[in-house]
Amino acid sequence: MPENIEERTRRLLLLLQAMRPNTRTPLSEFARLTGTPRDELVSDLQLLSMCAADQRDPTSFIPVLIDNDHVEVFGHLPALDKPVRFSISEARAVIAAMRVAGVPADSELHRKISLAAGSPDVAPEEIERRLHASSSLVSVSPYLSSLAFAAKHRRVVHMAYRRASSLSATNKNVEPLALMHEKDVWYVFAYCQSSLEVKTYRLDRIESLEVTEASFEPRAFDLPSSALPLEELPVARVRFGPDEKIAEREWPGIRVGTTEKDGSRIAEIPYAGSSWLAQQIVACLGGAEALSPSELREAVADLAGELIGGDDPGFADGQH
Amino acid sequence: MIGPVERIINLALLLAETSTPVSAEQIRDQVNGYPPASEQDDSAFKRMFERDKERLAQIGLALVADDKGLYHLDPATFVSPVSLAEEERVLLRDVLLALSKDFTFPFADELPFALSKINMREPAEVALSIQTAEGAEDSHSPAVGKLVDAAFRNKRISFAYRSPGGTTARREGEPYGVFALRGQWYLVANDISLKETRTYLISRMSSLAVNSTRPKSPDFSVPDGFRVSDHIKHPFQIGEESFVAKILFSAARASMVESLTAGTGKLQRRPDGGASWRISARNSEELTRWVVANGPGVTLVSPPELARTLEGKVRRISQMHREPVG
Repeated sequence: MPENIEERTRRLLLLLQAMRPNTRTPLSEFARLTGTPRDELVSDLQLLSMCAADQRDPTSFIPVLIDNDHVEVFGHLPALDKPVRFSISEARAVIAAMRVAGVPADSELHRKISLAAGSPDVAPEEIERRLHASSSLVSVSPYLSSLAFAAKHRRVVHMAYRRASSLSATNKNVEPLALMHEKDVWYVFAYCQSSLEVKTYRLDRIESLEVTEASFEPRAFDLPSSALPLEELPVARVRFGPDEKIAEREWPGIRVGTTEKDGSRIAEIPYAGSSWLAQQIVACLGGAEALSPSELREAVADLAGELIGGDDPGFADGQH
Repeated sequence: MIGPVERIINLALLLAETSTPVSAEQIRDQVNGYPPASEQDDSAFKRMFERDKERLAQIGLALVADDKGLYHLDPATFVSPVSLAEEERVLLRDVLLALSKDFTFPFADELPFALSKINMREPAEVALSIQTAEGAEDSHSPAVGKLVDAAFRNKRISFAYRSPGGTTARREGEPYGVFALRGQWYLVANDISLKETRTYLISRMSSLAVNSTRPKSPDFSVPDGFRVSDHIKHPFQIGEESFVAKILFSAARASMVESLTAGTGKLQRRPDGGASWRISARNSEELTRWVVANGPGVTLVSPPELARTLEGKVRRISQMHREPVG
């Protein structure tokens, strides 16, 4: 495979930035800092040791060698050891990534990172104007950084959380363990101190959040490959009308069975809570019917009833 | 023989170390890797030097020439270290690291370099995983990166586009911007033959080609006031109808109003703590589904006939699910 000149040049310059004069550092530490595999790192360091600002001046060679699995920097480093601004493609990547992280364009963090771009060729506002990598119109929860902070420092979080199809939020204390962004939605995996189990919460259903002073003990937790562990969930049977479009994204893990004579299809859908699935079914506006279990069927009837009569003011008070 | 990487690093070192601008001749003489004048004619040297300059510029090191034709590093090359509060640092570092492993994020390869530049290459401290879009590895993210590059260079593109109906046609466009929405990447472009701005689903594009003639010259300019975010729509804003909807949010949903409306339409707070929202819509079916999917506490008020239709449908769902399975 031909060498990628740009990529290797970039790697070497970053390696130079990671070096400190008159130091002896384990090779593994450099591999960790630069994210470069060992063999590649050795080859890069060897090449770097042959580089010089002026080929006629032996003192201008980069003073680095590999000795006994250590990287030894034995003298003055050239001026390229200072932070270098982002390239255009790096700036695009970071600004797009900040969108995914829900960092608003007018925030202090955005301003600080834009300064690192540091070039009139990399105008953050121009990138914002033409590239939008947030995954949803719904702005990402402002609670993301607080949850990441609480997870890192193992601090208990007090939050008001609203379940799907519920009008009111419930207060709970949770121990945040991990975060996941999957198909539009940010989730936090957290141990609930009330139910005494690890649960998955959507950040867009958190209504308020406070990182408390209380800490929690480390808890063994393996980040799952998906926010919804579909194989472990109970399965509901749902009939879809002939004209109802079924998108896997809307119904994660759905298995569509045979088509009936009238064109309707019976599907099996894993679900974590009947409130979520009931809302999905009602939102099909007649295009889907819950067949089983009976609790789901009741939940659909109750939710639809709530929407047209009971507590929902829009249908109840004749405003339309 | 000195390879191009070593030569480019040597060039960068010379320019970083020198306190005064240097001439092309000095560069040729001092930088190991440029053949001496006796072995390479001036035009070949100039081409090699220009390519090296471009490569350095691509990684953030721009060489500029003064009015005497002497070269130095652009003073903006070096920046102050980024100083972040701990919450900011944890969030940014861990999100960027997670995205660098997300094969659906089209700029994943750039992030490790960017993280190193802001001295954030240490391992993540929070378990965090991200998948920004649907799709198998290498499905469409390379096309997204190529389109973003074409958009920022204002280069025309051509591509085959498969319509929702299944027919495929060749299109030519001027790419204005790219956005992600609900797990998919979209392109906003001026369709040259239709003479109108259109939004394309990138996963339906194939055989993408970027105009390679005059690569440094733009083929078009983006209209003043263009913002790609203006083209991101609610699902009920995509369709053939055209009407204005009025939706009420109850006080119990007040905390979610900002995120649900996402800065679109006209939002008015009400004395009872709720809010009223006027929003243009193009698809009544999708609108009613959206209202139900985000309720309770979200009520369609206008158009009144659509609100009555919605009420009737929800009533039938309630009745149907109270009866035994048929």
